[in-house]
Amino acid sequence: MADFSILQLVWFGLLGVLFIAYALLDGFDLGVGSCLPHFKNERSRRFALETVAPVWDGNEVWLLTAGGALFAAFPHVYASVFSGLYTALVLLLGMLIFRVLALELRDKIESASWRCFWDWSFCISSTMIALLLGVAVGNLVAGLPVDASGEIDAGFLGLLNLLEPIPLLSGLLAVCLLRLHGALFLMIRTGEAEIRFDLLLRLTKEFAATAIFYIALTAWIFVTAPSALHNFKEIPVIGIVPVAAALFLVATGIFIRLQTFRLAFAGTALTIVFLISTVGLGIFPNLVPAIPPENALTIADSASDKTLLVMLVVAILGIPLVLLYHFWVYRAFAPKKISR
Amino acid sequence: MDPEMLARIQFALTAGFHFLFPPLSIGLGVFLAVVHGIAYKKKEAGWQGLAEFWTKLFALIFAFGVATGIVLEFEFGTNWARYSRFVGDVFGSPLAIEAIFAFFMESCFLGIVLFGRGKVSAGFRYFSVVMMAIGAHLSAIWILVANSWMQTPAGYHLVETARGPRAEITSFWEMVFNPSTLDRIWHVTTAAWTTGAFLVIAVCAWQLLKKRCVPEAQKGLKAGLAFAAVAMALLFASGHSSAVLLEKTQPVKFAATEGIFETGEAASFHLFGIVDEAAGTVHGPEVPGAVNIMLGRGLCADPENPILGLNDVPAENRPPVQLTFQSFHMMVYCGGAMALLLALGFWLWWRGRLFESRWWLSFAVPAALLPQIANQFGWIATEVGRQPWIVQGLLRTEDAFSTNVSGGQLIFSLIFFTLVYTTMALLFLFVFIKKIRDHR
Repeated sequence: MADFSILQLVWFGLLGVLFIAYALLDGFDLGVGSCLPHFKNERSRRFALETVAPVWDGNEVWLLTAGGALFAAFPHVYASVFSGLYTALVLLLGMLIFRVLALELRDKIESASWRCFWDWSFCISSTMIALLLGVAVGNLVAGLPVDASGEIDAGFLGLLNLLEPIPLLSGLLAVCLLRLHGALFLMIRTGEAEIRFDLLLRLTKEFAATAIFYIALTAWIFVTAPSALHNFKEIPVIGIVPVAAALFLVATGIFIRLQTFRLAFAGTALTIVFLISTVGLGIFPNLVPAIPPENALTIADSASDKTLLVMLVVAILGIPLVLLYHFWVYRAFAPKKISR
Repeated sequence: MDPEMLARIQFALTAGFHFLFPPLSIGLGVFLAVVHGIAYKKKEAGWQGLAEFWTKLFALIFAFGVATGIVLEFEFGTNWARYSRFVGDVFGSPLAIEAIFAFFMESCFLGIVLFGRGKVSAGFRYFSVVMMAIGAHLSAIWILVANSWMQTPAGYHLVETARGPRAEITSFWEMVFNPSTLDRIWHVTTAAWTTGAFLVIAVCAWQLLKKRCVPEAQKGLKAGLAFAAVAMALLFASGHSSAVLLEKTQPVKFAATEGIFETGEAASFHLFGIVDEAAGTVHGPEVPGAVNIMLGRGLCADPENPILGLNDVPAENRPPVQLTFQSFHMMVYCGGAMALLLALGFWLWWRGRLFESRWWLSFAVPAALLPQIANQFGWIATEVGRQPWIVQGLLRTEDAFSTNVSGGQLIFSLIFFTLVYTTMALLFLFVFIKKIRDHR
């Protein structure tokens, strides 16, 4: 294992926290976006959009913060990943732009076709963002072709790795899991019978799809990429984390069946937390596992201790403030205030 | 075309397009904090209408700023990988700090401002307006810290690492308060206030011309004029001190903005001109010694402390002089035109004819573009004038772009962003104008 300092370890953990916060929070509005066309009438679509409208922007900032933190704490890794996955990144940026436009412009013109266009844009962009980020995570599990100078070669058109099975399954799992997460978020925010009825059908289907892709991905990794399991073989006790992820997913299914949706939402949230933690534990101490393995970009490729320390102080001062802002926003738009 | 040029064009396009929006959110942020404050105190329909109308326009502008801003944060890594490796230890922290201290503040409180009416108390909503405006300013401050460090690097040392040489931080506060930070923050912030104020003036002038929402527009126009006057006074002061500082900290860029070729002359101000780089001269009328006087050096050249001329700068260290010179002059012209319009406006206000003088109102509508043009040219002068360096004196632009991104990928992304941004510009104008037209 590479040599690393406590600060580098702390920043590996903090990056994990930032990405988990992003997946949890923007996760549900990506999911809502992806599910939007399933709502057939304007009233339920409007309800879905109004649920995410006040909060999506703050949620998305977690991705920007994670990107900024990666730049500050691991500049070499930031540079390699972002330039190496150029085409995928440009696509992701396009989708992030498109999504903002859809949310902002949809209700600006009184026209059914205008609305329909932006609803589909919102759906496609949300789905693509979830897919691309899921593919990125899958690539971390499978490892990327990295040369000795630390440059990533993403293959033909800078996109070829998207087509490999592990990244693709991981992307599809991300889409389904976030759709489930988003549908559950809507469920706990509405008391309207008609919308709840639609959502209930949705939940069953999304859960089934999530379970299928989860099993397929897990099986595929066990069979074709045993190297991804290296850390779990070395220190078996951390195997608790992936097992917990699986158990929380099962629990989610049970809670949906029991129609206890708050618990089911907690279930998808914990599934997300533990799945991302599993990836983190699996790749540690690498940030980008490589083919060949000795070229991996590790947490030793960090900024100086001085910068890591300054940024740690920033995180300690900043994160409580951010949580306070989120608390205010979510309290202001809590369901009891919506219905009355 | 070579990858360096493509990467530069793409960054100029994406940064320039992005910068149409943030000055408006910063300027309108202040305006909203004041107008919402008056509306909250007075509970008067006119002020409340003004506050809510501009909140809606703000939301649209803010959303476009967010959408185009994400691109920039990722672009350092995608297109400038070698730059990111070289400066990440210093440059990454202000970006991360911007996200954590500013972006969350802006976006969370905007959510409450836009959708919280009737869900939170009026007092808390006003608190959110103020927080949102503060967030916009914090965002500007941290990104300008990062940019200023590229102009006048400080608080770092160069370290040889396994991945090659890089700049590492030695003093965080010296990096933050590098020599040009404060002047730049003042100049850009006051320019942003001016940009916001001129948009308010333009929209209210249009409403008065069309006799719509007259009481509201009259209030808005007066508030906008007052705001613009304060902003422009500070803008000129900060512009002057920025130029004086520039001569000390980046003399080559300074020489390019004024077209100074001979070292040690009492520098003149060219009213306008064409730079002849080969002959080392500027063709056009000039005010002799004006630049010298502006710098506080009196009428005569000071042989002890001469102003650097481009003839003493090796060709490979010179920026494109023509572009720097013309951009700087365009910025100054726009500033002059805005000041003139403002002065006329105050004279009419004083004579009590402001709301009736159709010719002034008709000029005030397109004048919203003047600060935008000045902002764009100001940044072109700043960034082009720093060339060939990406970090002044430390790293050249030719050593900074991503070598592993191919020309084909760059052409694809350049076409992609051009198409997306053109569409966005059209959509923005369409919806923005519609919102103003539909407001009665």
